[in-house]
Amino acid sequence: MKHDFLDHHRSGNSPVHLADPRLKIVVMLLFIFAVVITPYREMSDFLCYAGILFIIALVSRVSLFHYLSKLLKLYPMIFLITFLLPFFPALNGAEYQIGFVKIYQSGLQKFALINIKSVLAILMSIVLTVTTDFSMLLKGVEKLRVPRLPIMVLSFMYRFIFLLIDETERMQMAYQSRYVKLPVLRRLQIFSQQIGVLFIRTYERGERVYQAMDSRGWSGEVRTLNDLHWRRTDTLHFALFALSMMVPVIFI
Amino acid sequence: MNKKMMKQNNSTIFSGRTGLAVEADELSYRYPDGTLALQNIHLRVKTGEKVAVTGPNGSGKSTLITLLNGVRRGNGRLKIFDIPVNKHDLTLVKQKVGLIFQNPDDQLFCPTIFEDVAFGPLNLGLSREKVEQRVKEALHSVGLNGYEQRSSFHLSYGERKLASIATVIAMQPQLIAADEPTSNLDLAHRRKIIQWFKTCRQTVVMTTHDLDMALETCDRVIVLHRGKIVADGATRQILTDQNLLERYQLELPLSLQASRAKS
Repeated sequence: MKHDFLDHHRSGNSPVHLADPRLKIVVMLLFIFAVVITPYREMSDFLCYAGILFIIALVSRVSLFHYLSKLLKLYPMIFLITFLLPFFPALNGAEYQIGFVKIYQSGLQKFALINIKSVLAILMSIVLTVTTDFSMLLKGVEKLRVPRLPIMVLSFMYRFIFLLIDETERMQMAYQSRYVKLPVLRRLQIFSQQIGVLFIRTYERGERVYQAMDSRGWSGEVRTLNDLHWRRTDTLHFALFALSMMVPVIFI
Repeated sequence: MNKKMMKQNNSTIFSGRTGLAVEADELSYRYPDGTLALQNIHLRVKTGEKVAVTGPNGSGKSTLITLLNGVRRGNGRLKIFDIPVNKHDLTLVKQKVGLIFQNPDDQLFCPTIFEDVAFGPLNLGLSREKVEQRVKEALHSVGLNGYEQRSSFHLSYGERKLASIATVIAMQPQLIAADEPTSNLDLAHRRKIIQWFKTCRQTVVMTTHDLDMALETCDRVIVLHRGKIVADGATRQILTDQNLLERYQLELPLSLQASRAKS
């Protein structure tokens, strides 16, 4: 299972790494919730949220560059969804003319707001996933009383991704060994055929892996060697977080 | 029925009333697309026996192995250590039978070897100390000491095969069902696996094309042909019968061919 690129920073000693996964999940959910429901009154609210996020990122002792590179992979999706907003006509508010294109202030505000909120939310979830081992994360989710079925689906999906990657590499090797320069259209046709075969092969491999797991007694519960222990430091960290999230509310 | 005396101590506790590890009657299996893989299999394997199942490709060997563990369900009667293999008692059967697949990559799916080998014991609900102990013992039995923190994809094929055996023996099953345990192995790893099967105390049913290994490790050989058992007897008896072997597209084990050529 070639997954160093996914698990690179998971083992670490910072307070964030060592925190109970349940704490991290709850913090992430609360943070995202707060960010999303905060209306735009002043920029300082969001600067405050960004500050809290920045502090958590610093404490995790993972390079900020690493966080940013992950963000960069996800941001284009946000941009694609929102980039048309400034062009929607609005009756009130200012209009700007650039060349033959009209940009409306209300649209621009919406664009900025959604982008800022999304970036904050994504960054917080990135912090969570970078500092938490996946099976511990699932264990935390399980302890938070999420039903078994979604957890089983998630843990299968996680394993399946690696099987998919393995099979893709194998198909690439097969293709490279018989490579011949081909026109683009033909290359695309082959590519689509490869995807079809890839999914069949990975599906069948997934079946066999499931049989292997089943014959070793897997019943769907997430089992890890280390059980989750909520510590006093976790309560302390939660209190700190909750207090700092009150700041935008109190000092509007 | 003449019950044989049990040689191994641990098996007397679990061998049940009849002393039979596997009891199959009129067992058959049809694939979802309709092909009949196994027909009317009648099989008795005593506790402690080591049986090799051989035959041409497509004769149903692998299917038979997967039936032993309950992974596949066929028609007919099948009992493992006197436990009928049906929906109700499936967990019990799974605890007693360890299935080693042909492709080790289907069985190694955790980030580290330690987690792979610990997977089974963890699912059995053992304590942390017990799990660690089982992992250590299993890795030691296959000669992979110190491999705990290695990732499975860093290992060679032979090491992965040994690791997949470790994942199964960590559960301490009474019956080991192995599908082609020595296929594609270099001679050193093949020797290790043969050695392991020779010295293990469990009942073993294995499919193999490696008749030399069968000669060394198994007391009994069964030949499957097109889903039916066509020969079943002591290893020496079956594997020296050249006519029988050739009729079912098999050959004499190489070691016997060499000695025959000399004489």
